[in-house]
Amino acid sequence: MHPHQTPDDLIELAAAHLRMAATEAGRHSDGDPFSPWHAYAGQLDLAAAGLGTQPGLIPQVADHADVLTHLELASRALYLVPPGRGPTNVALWCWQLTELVRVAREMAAA
Amino acid sequence: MSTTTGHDLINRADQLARELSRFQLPVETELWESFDTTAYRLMRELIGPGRVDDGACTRRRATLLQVIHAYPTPLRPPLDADFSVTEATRFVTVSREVLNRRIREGEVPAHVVGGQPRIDAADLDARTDITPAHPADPHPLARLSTTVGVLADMVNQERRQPSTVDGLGDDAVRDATARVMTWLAVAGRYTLRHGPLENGDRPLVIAQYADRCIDMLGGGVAPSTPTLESLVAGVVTSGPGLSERLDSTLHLWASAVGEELRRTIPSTQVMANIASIGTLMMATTHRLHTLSLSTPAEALVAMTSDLRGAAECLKEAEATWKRVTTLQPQGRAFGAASFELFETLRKVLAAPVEPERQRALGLDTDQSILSLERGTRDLASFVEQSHDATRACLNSELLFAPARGQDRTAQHLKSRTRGGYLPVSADAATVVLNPIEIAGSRTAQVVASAIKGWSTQRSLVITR
Repeated sequence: MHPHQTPDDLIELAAAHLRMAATEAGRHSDGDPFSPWHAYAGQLDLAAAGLGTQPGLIPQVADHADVLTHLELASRALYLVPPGRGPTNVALWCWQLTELVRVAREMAAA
Repeated sequence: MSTTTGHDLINRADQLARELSRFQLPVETELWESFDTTAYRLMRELIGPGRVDDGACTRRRATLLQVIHAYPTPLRPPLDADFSVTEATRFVTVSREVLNRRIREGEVPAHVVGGQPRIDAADLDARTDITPAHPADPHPLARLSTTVGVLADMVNQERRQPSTVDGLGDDAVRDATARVMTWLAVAGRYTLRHGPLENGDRPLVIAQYADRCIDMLGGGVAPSTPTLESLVAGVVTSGPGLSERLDSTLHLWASAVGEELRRTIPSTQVMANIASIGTLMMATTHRLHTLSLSTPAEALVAMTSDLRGAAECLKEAEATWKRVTTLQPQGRAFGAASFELFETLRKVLAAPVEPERQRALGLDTDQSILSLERGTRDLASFVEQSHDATRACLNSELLFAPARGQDRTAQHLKSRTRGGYLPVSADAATVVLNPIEIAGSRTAQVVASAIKGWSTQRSLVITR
């Protein structure tokens, strides 16, 4: 963990990357409401809102990347939260992120 | 010499639980059962009735007791304890009356304490085949199980020394229990994914129980006891059939949504997600109709237009709900149910055209269409409820939006610079509510008329 990053900072960073991943996933749907990418973006938004410590207040991150990169960065931020110092359910969010990555890969492959 | 503390063990278990998501090693039922039993033993040691403290009547303590009592029938009782008849019924599959009769008839040994019969745990233990994970087993779940077991031993030791019991106050126990719930939720999911499918029910029940308890312990709305008790009955069956899974996940989702919308102030993120899932339900319904032999080609044209119209409205409603917030978090159980339904719908959406390949997946298109029709009725009702909740929040000034998007008063300017949120003013109400109202009512209308129309068309085909 960076010396100036608190567990809350890392959680917020992960949430922000998830929100950016959601925006990118939404772009994949090309505006088609039948596209599973649209519903996938909804899942990413839900995860971002659930992970963030302040509901409704999720800062945007400056760098724009693809869905998988944002998910990887979110995952990395979560793993940096020291066990015992962050929220009690970080392990579950790590699992959820792994699942979201798996789904993104499957959808991209399809 | 180094000393390992309970805190170290909790941190280690937390780390191991996180790492579990990076592994893909198969897991045997024996290993899962060992973890299940060990985690329950730890919880009992943390919360259990043998604990001596003065906080038994506090609300926190009551929540902790509710958590342990809701644990789905433990596989093994903790071995160094004895139980009253009522407590013992948690570990057996017979009623209290039957257990009392068996004690009277001498079938179940019991001893009397204070005039009441008590049963030794060993006499209730029907699963002596479950053993602790081997400490040298490199499997990540075995490592987690061993760490949890050592922690349980440590807590047990601590409980026997009254001088140290202050270190295990309700706050510490609550925090530790919340972590155990997280480990159970992760381990249950890992076992579901990498374990034998035929034994998937138990890990699923435990994972869902853990989700509910995380919500309870996290300070969200505590589900009522009947809700927790109904978990076993309302669980998604892990049968291989895609249609069966769709039906189950729709039920589970509807139950989770109902619970979220019953909150005094529901989360707008939940409402947005309901709409988001709704778009996929429309797409999946469309896909199933194109696959179904019972759907006439001429009906498909009108259906496509209706479904796409509904999906567009839902998408618009979702976008609107994302622009406002009630600053309320959503429950963990809702997130899990939503993701499960998303995953199932995605699989149905990608179903193959060939009937034999559909059969191999356990997909019965007509059965799934009926499941989705019911799900869509639920969806229409949820959209309507969400709309009413949004209006109520707005009238109570409990609906917020980013200050940067609102009128420029002195207060707003201050909040704008901080990037804060402010209550949506009555002047802005129309702007905020209109899209939701339009989208909500149109969705409900389109969904209702579409269902009516398709049902008629389908029944005509069947009659013919």
